[in-house]
Amino acid sequence: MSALFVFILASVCCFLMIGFCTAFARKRLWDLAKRLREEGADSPRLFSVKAYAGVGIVALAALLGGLFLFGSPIPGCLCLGGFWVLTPAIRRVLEGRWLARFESSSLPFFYALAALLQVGLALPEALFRAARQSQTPFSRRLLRHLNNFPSGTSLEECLNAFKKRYRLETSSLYFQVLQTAYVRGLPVSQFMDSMLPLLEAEEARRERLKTLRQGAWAQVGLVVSLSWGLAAFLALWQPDFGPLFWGSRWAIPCLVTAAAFQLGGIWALQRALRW
Amino acid sequence: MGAAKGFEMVKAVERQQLVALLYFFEALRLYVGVGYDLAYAWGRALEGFRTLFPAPIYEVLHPSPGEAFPDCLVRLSREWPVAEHRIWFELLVFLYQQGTALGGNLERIAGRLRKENQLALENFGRRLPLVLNIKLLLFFFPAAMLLLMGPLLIMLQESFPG
Repeated sequence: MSALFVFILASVCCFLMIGFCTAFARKRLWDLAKRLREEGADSPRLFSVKAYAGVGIVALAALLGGLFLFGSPIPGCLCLGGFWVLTPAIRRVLEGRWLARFESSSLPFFYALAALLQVGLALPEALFRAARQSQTPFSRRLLRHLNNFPSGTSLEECLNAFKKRYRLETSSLYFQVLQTAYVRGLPVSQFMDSMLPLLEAEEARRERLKTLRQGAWAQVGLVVSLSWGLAAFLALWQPDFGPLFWGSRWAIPCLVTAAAFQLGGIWALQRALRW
Repeated sequence: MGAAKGFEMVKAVERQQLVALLYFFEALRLYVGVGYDLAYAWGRALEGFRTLFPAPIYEVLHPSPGEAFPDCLVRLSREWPVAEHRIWFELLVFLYQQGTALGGNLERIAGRLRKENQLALENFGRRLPLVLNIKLLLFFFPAAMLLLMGPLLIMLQESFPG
């Protein structure tokens, strides 16, 4: 009975430690990300730093947790290896999410731009004003690039640098059409009127896809955590069972096969959720 | 399982082609709407999409070296990967050769493609629970069984070694 109590206490301490480490890492990483953003670091580099630092902290927590819980560094080292392999995927996911959020925030900017063009402002002035007025990540970063305009860089170069840096999807095309229309002296505001409904439709499509994907991943997360959670509960509930299980030659193959099935499922689902 | 995966990939490629074509026609519509000739608008729209389109789609839409623009349209009306969409290129060939105003027709084509895209999204949303259930049954259910029943079976085996 006392062994069970010690085991539960150790597990609680371990999970508290992992939770504390994660919260601490999150805070530290957030500060780091903020500083890098203020310094104007490229977003891919920022996400690499975030992914590698996050993975490093989680792997360290897993290593310490494994040492504390099982008295062996092997499970922690396995986690560390696994997380290291997953890091590029984590980085891609972080970057993809950020880019989607970034592009979503362009809608208020384009609305402000359309309104300013309608009252007769020239495109460069309207771009400046709209970027200053709509305080979204999109307009803040665009403004940073537009600030090169007064020092002699052409509008086309400013916008091209912006598009190249943030690898935009649809907004990039609209900027391209805007630029062409401006260079040829064609009515830009007329073009904006037909562009805004398209941007809205695109935004609606993106949101719908996001909702569908989030629902699917939430279900998978629940199934994965429930199966491991119930297995852990079983181990805690039957203290005699632990040594018997770990003593068996089937223990590791059983756990590895289960983890491989789940990783395979995550990979297959990720492919099925592609649009 | 392989067949299901193949089917999903084919669907994903078809969706990509549809979305690419939709963006392309939207861009054409915008360019033609502000007064460009179709051949010039075609080049500008492709330039805008150089990094966004999957390489095979960009190559198919791009006129080959020495290929005149109407010939490119004729080629697309025969070789565009999705047979149902070839009609739009055929229509463009006809309208371009007739010298008719294209703005309204491009608007209609883009509208039709938008609708198709919307339907594809709805279809994707409708099929998703089924796809998810299949994945759960194939991958996550065996893993859960292994995690829950495996230790019990091991315990039974160890208890009755004979």
